[in-house]
Amino acid sequence: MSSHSKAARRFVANRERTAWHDKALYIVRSKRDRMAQSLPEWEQLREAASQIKQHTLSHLADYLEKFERNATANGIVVHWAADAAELNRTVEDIIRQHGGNKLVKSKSMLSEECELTPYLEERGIEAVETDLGERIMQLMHCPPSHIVLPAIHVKREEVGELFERELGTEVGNSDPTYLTHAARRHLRDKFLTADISMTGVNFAIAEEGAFAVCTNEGNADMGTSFTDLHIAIMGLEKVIPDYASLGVFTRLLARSATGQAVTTYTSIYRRPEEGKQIHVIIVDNGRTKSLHNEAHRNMLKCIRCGACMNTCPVYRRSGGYSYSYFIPGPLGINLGMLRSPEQYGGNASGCSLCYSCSNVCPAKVNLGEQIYAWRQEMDSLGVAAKSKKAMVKAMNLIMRHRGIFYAGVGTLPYVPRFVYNNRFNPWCEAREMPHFDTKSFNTLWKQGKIKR
Amino acid sequence: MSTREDILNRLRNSGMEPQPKPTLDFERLKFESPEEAFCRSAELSGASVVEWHEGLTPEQLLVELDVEPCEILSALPDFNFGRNPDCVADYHELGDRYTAILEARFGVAENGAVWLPQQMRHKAPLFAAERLVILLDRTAIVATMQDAVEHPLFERDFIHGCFVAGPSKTADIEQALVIGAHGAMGVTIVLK
Ligand code: SF4
Repeated sequence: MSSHSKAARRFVANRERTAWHDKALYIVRSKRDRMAQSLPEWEQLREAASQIKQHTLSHLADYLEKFERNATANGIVVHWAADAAELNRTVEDIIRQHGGNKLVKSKSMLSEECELTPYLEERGIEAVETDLGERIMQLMHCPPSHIVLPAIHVKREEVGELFERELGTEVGNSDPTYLTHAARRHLRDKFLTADISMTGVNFAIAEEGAFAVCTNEGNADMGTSFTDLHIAIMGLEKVIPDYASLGVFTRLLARSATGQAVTTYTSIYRRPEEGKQIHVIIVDNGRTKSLHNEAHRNMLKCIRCGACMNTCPVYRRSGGYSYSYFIPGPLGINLGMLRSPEQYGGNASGCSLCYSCSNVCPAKVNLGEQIYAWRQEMDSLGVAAKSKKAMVKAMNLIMRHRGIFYAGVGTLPYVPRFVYNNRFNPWCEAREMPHFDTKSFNTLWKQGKIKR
Repeated sequence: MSTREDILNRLRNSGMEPQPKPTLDFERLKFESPEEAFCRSAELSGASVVEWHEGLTPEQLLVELDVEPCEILSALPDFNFGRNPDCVADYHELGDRYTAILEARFGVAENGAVWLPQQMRHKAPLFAAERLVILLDRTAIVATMQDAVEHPLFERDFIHGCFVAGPSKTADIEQALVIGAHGAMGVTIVLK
């Protein structure tokens, strides 16, 4: 049994919760659908986004240099980091040079990827997550279970209890408005006393040396408004050519992510305010390697909207923690395989190959097709499941030999059910094996019992 | 070799064929009345839209909006009643219980966002204000974000600029929409 099915077993044990999770995400997906359907040029926008990304990826070095040149001219300091360790070190160095030890963070998948927060905390730098969902997860000491909706799996009562303990809110009050405003006050205090702010980057605009950060809460903006030092970290695939491209992506991002027409704030940082500093760190951490992988370089087109998770029937019913990579769903399966098939190969079975992810992706990343391709590569990568391999070998033998096949089809209906319908057959974990008819399709056909 | 050179070299040797830049010449969404569409979208984003009727003085407008002049923070000459943020050296001193009055360059009909390049010494009030009142010329409304970035008033030389669509919001607790996460609790667009 794959690592994904084993972990999912814990999640699906609570049926009510599974259904609730499934429904919550389906609502988000339906909102996306309505947005997509209300825009006549939706498919052209997706195609444009995909082509802009393809174009940029094929000229990535040039665009990054251009971004660096223009950002530097604007007074932004640009750094490069080869891997997680170098990113973390660079962040620490910038902070040490500037001074201060209170950092307010807005959401960044890259910081999760590089385990930046624990790195800083170990060195005496307090790193507070300021996105509400991220803050909830940080106070719970758990990782986010979704890239856009970090606390989608947490119930309001659980947030209520958490805030009771951590923020001193009223006992038994789990009203979302009350709790959100309590968090607002708690984090206001953090913003006003912070020394350093950190944000991710949604789009780095090469032509202008500027970058855009999109949020609904305004937490990234609050952070950068009240601190003198702003550190922005970006994966190197985040660069886009120009404002015309930004126009395309901002039409797609929020519609795909949450079904809003646009995020509340689309903040464009171009120059530091007087007396302040902006540092941008461009991070590789495996991305150049992915670009070299012809079959899977498409993953670098991703704009991290989360739509592929919301639509995924497996993700919705198994939750973010069933995947062993820190990003779940179709996106996480693929990124995990690019990172390390040995470590994360167990996620590849968490896919029904329905390809819904490929159909909703605003950048036309062919997620489903790539998962299929990975499964073909599993054996040569040495990570194929032994039981599945044995089964395929047996099937191969049976299918290739008429005699064995018909003997099997003929005998199966007379084999007592308990022989195959038991707990040693992983297929039977949550379902029944079918009942076999004594007459095969072939026989029925010959007897003329099947109507066209 | 430095990290930078190393990364750039690896990118140059990716073996990926150069791909053309798309022309983006597909037809875009248009509205018969951009103003009406803007109002609809702005309200969906949680903002309220009011009109600045002719003959109304700024003082009278404030009464209509239920804003006390002393709560105002604005650098606009018309609204010089309260504090001027440009006269405050340390933005931490501004506190956060005020209404910021700003002027947008233009609005976007498809999503109700308005373009606000930094007009003050500090951008802090745009986010820390309890409430935002944003003036908008009703003839300056474009259809889509693609039109927005081509607009002549989408100037190239700013410090910080922001498309703002409604008040700050979150749905991080059980997907229940709550207004007033970290930024403004309310946004009023005043059409001129
Ligand atoms: S792969 Fe596509 S759908 Fe999934 S998060 Fe990335 S952009 Fe969104």
